[in-house]
Amino acid sequence: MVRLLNSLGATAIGALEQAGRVATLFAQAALWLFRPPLRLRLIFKQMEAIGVNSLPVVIITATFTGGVLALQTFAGFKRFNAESLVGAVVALSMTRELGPVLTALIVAGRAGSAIAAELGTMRVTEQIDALDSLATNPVQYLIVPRVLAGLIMLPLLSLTADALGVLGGWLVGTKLLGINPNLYVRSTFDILDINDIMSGLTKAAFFGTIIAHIGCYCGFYTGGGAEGVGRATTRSVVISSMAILIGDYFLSALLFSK
Amino acid sequence: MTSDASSGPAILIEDLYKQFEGHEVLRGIDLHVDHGESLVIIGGSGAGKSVLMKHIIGLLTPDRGEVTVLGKSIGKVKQRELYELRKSFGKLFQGAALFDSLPIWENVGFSLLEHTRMRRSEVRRAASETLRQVGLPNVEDRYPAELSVGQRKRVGLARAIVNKPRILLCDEPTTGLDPIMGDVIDNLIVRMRKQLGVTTFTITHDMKSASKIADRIAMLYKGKIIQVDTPEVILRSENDIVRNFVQGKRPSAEKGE
Ligand SMILES: Nc1ncnc2c1ncn2[C@@H]1O[C@H](COP(=O)(O)OP(=O)(O)O)[C@@H](O)[C@H]1O
Ligand SMILES: [Mg+2]
Repeated sequence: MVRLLNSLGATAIGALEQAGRVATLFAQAALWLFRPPLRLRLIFKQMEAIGVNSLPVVIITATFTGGVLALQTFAGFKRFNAESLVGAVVALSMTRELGPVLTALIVAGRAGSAIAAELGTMRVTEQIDALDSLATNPVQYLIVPRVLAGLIMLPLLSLTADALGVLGGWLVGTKLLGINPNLYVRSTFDILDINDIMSGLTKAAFFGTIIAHIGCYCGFYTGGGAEGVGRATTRSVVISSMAILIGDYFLSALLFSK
Repeated sequence: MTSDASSGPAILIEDLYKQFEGHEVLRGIDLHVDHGESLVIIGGSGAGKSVLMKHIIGLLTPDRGEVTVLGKSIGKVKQRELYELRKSFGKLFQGAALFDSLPIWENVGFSLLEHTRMRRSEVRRAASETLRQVGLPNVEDRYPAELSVGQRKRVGLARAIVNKPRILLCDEPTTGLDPIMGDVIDNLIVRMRKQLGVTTFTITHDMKSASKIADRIAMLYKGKIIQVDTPEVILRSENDIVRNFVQGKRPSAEKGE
């Protein structure tokens, strides 16, 4: 029992220590963001990388999620003759919650892990030391563009997911379940507010920053050769996914409480 | 060279200690390299040669002791100043450490792209010229992964010398090269020093190369410099450990295969 508590305590301290290091690295990145030069070429390259890595999966996932939402809510709402509300439920769920969160989890799994693998490789092959030796700050050169790209791309991907989710819901709702198309569209846009979309995109921006930064953090502090790179990659996915889901709760509480 | 704020040596290492998780690698290194001098470090693999070199450019910080380069204490200068100082360095890494994501010419021209106002086309030309000096024409648009180990090494050297550094650090420049190419690189280092007055600090296992490029050779053993002297003296060293090393023999204690 004591040993269990001890090990729990050690884990907690380890997690806190880690959180401290993540925060320190983030503060460094934030500082270096405001020092010239801002390397647009690198930012665009990273935006492309995140988009290319994640867009296909986001498209498929969002469309089917919209579809299944329609299917499930239809089954439930039919019991009290509220089928007309299916469109509204799909739209609200997608924009406020599922669009940003699913997109974030996908990006964490694909682009976030790719960032960790790339920076991890750069660490163990001394490319990061080489940057430093060439009088280029590695945080500014590597982390700033990736975090900015995450911050910019996640809302864009998330918006795509929102739209495709609504489309998927519409397809299933009207073509498969026979809801009146006009009714479906009206119910969607009567209830959906621009704030629903914006708050979802705000969350997405947070998630994008977190994913890119965690990927960078795990890669940046990789040790122990090729094996270390593998571990860093896995770790980045685990940490980002947890951060996304926990952060989602608190962000939602904050954004939707009013 | 013009305007040296420092009257002392180009590189001064005093009482340097470094350990990693209890494993003592450097235990009191004292060493200096004069302006325009070529110093070669020899020593068994794992002796701490690369670790010593990383202290000179501030990639590692000493546990104790001090490293002074061009009159500036590496451990004490502000970050901005350290980066400024690094612009007068060139470093070839043991594993070349080329940037996988960049084509060869951008690797070579990296410091020019980053720290000068040269246009990309000009940098490309400068990179090609430097690549020719290391015997690598027509590789500008390839990527590091497409080159052999020896070729990567030479690209690494090109990257280190493209901005005409005042101090050149080379970690095993000829390891993995055939003897002819090794000779080309040795000649290049000698020429850099003669023509540009570059201070060079080179790690090598290759005694032939060491005696060719060195003004002085220093032997690192068990965390200390056990002898520093001219190649002639080192090659006929009185010290058993040094003599065995330069003659390619194992120390008697480890003999017996
Ligand atoms: N960053 C590091 N962390 C832990 N140990 C290190 C690190 N860098 C080097 N070492 C250890 O220091 C010793 C000397 O390494 P190195 O300087 O690379 O040797 P060499 O003389 O062959 O260049 C080795 O035992 C190595 O494992
Ligand atoms: Mg070494």
